[in-house]
This record gives sequence, structure tokens and C-alpha cells, in this order.
Amino acid sequence: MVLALVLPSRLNDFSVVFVSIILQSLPFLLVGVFASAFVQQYLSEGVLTRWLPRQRLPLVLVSSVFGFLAPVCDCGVIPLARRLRAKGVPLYAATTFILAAPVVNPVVLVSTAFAFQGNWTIVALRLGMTLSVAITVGVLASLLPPVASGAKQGTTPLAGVGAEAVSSNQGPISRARELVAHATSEYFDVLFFIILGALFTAAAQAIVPRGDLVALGGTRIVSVLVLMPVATLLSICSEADAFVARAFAANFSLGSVLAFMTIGQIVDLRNALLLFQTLGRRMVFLIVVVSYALVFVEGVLITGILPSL
Amino acid sequence: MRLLRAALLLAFAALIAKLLVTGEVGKYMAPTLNPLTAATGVVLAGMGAVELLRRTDHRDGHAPEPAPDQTMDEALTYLLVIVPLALGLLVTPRTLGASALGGDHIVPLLLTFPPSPAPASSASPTPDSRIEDVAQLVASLRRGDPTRGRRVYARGMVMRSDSLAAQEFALLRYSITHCAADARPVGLLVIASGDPGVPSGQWVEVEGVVSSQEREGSALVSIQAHRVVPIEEPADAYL
Repeated sequence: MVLALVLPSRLNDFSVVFVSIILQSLPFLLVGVFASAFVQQYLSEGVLTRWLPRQRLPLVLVSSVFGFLAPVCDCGVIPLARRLRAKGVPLYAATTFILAAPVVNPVVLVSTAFAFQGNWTIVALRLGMTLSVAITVGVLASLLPPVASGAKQGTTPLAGVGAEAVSSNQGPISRARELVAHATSEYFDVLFFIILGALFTAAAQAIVPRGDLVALGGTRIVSVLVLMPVATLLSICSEADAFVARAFAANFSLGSVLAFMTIGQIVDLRNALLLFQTLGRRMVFLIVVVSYALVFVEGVLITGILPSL
Repeated sequence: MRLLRAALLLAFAALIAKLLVTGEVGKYMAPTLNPLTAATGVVLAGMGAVELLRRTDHRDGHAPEPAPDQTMDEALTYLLVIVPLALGLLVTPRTLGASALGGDHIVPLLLTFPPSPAPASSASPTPDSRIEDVAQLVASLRRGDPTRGRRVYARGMVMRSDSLAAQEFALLRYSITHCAADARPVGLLVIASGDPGVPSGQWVEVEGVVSSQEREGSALVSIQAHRVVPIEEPADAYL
């Protein structure tokens, strides 16, 4: 016997929005977790560190776009950064990588373009905002004294997916199965937060009158101020947040939606403990203050210049 | 835990298969995404199969189970994952209804004619050709085609409002780009010859003539209906 429940109207609307967000996110989540698993399994830390320049600014700049080579989402970036630290990569470079890679990578940029119907202006603005924060924090961190920047922290590899070694002595079938296993582990890690985000969004759409949201989102400063902490609380994966942001775009200004997508990948509750453990208190404080201030100003400016999509 | 993970992955694949086979996917997503959704289901089924194989390896002593300290986190994740699976597998979804407006009034959402008519395109239809459904009407308005006085056939949900007269109602449809989360309401004012006697939320098909109604300084796109008939919710409910 097949159950075919019919929900009351309001609950049905909540359910349809909730399930649709998850269904739409899944393909991009899969691309992300497989790309991440590939890097973790086939690209050794030694190869990565040999490519890096030795001067501070070039190193910060290279670290900020390193996500194009290692397209990991915000769930996979910290374990990878800790492994890079263990191989001698400076803390400020690892920090820049942690802040930039979840957005500055092809998977997330394509999913953002897809979510916003090929609007490359939004993709470029998201890229620019993320890079501005990552590079600013990276440069400031490189100027901090080594002890103050927590140079001795983040050198111990984490347990779990991110710490697993590159394997070369297995057969192709074993390695393929191992790759799928890595991807599956990361899939479940990330799915939890996507479902939470979808629940929040569906509830907001079903409960809050859009007219009220429009009024809240219509004020240039308030709209940005509202969505930034929401992004931090939701902690949605970078591969899926554009789809949630797209739902907000009907009611909020473009600047606030971009601020949502930018700050959500830099300061999120989900990675807070890992970030403290990896980078230390001072660095996390620097990240929170600089990123919130910079993203807020950029969000307000964009709202003033480009009010809507 | 691996058995549970395999079961959840296979359940997601089964959910996608069910939605595609029954056509219920159209209640959640735009049809253009069906191939991508199908491919996702195949990949998830493959991941589930690999997890099952790894479970066999574990029994044979080839692969370790997750560490015990991860168990609580994983249990929480699996509990949450069951929610969308249960909703997708057990519930028969319907198109977004009036409550998806979140309490907003329908009248401000009603379609209006542009302030000044745009020049008609060279491919404009003849004025006496019938407009088939809301999507064609919206497209005609966007192109600046002549619509006033043309016969029209339209389907949608009835929305009653205190702001409307007894013989009036709004015909509501949702336009989606990718999925129901980005749905935007499209409302048309329908003026029946008498009280049509259909409740809010009921799908109807309307036949009539496109006209203009002045309300609060706006020229509302309206249908002077000569026929209003209740129907089942169509499969292609979204625009």
C-alpha cells in the first residue's frame, strides 16, 4: 500500500518550498562533494605547497584564488587548510584560502550563475566581495606578529575526511570506491545544514507576509543588517546558498542578498569551533570584525547603486 | 551506520524516481530541470550502492566504521534527512496555494496594463484570435500586443477578497524560474456575470473577454467572464 497524504494548504505550501529547495541544491552539492573528494584523494599537500610564492602579497593573492585548483566548499576547506599549515604554509595564506575558497571556485560560481539565471553581474559582484574580504584579512594577518596571529596553531591534522592520506597503492576500483566514500561522508556533513537552511527559508516564506519582508528589505541599511546575521546563523553550504539567496531576492535588495552570500561563507556558526581551533582567537576576531564591516559597507553601496536584480 | 547511510541515499534516489514517474516533480521544480534531477537520482543510487558494498567490506574486516565520537552528530544528521524524505515520499504535493503569499492581499498583486501601450510587434496576432491561458496573456502584455476585447481562456486558483465585489475574484497562478522557492504570484481580476459560487483555493477555467478596470489609479487587466467552471488542479500549474 502506498501512502498518499494530502496536507492542509499552509503546510502543503511549506512542504513544497522546503522540498524544492533541497531538490534544486542536490546536483550542485554532489558536484562539490565529488570535487572535494577528488582533491583530498589525488592531490598531495607537497605538490600544492611547491607552487606557492614566498613573498607575502603574492602569496595572499595566490591563496585567494587557490579555490580554482582545489574547489572545496566551506565544509572541506578547513581540514585542507590545516593540512597545508602542517606542510609549512603560513597562517595568513591558509586564512586567505579558508575565506576565499568556498566562493572563489568554479563549482560555486557556476551554481551562483545558475541560481540567478545566468546573471554574471551577480557572480562577479559575489566574487569581488569575497576576494576583497579574503585579501584584506590576509594582508592584515600577514602584518601581525607571529605569536599574535597564532602561528603555532593549526598544525595538527584533523581526524576524519580531511586528514585522510593521498593513496597510491590501491587499485583503480578501490580508489574509485574510496573517492565515493569521501564524497558520501562530506555529502551527509553538508546536507544537514542545507536542510536546516531550507527549513528556515520555507518557514519564512509560509509565515511572514511578503509585504512585511519587502518593507524590511526596502531600507538600504536595514536590509543588509538583517540578512548578514541570518547568513551567519543559517551557515548554508556555498554550493547551495545561492539558491536560498535567490528566494530572498524577491523581497530584499541586491546588496543585502550579496552580503548574505558573502558573509555566510566567511562567518558561520557551523564552522566557528573549527575556525577557533585552526586559526586562534585573534585571527577569528580579525576575520569577524573586518569581514562584517567590509561586507556591510559593500552591501549598502551596492544597494544604493543597483537596488534590484 | 553505513547501512543507514546507504538506505538514506537510496531513499533519495527513490524519491527522485517517484517524483519523475508520477509527474509530481512539476509541483516542485521547473520542467527544464528534469534531466539534471534524474542524473542526480542516478548518482545518489550509485553512492548508496557503494555504501552497501563498503558495509560488506566492513563485515569482512576491510574498512573501518566511523569513529564512535561522530555517532551523535551523524544520528542528528540522519534524523533531519528523514524529514524531506518523508515529505517527498509520503505526501502528494499540490501547487502552491494562497497561503504561499504569506498573508499578503491579492489586490496589489493583480496584473495591470502598462501606463502607455508599447508598440505592437510585427508578429502580433489578429485581434479576434483567442488568448490561450495566462502564460500567453502575460506574454502578449509584455510584447505590447493588443489584448483588450480579445477572447481569452484561462485557468487558475480562485482567490476571494473583501476588497472585491461578490461577482469578482482573483485568478491566481504562480510563475517559477527553477523551483517553488522562487515562485512569484500572477493575479488576474475576473468579473463574472453573477456570483460564481466557487470557494477560495478552487481551480477553475474561465472563458471571457479581456477588459480593463480602473482601481486606485491603475488599469487592471481583467476578464469579463461568461463561463466559470471548477476543474481539477492541472499538471502544468506553474507558469
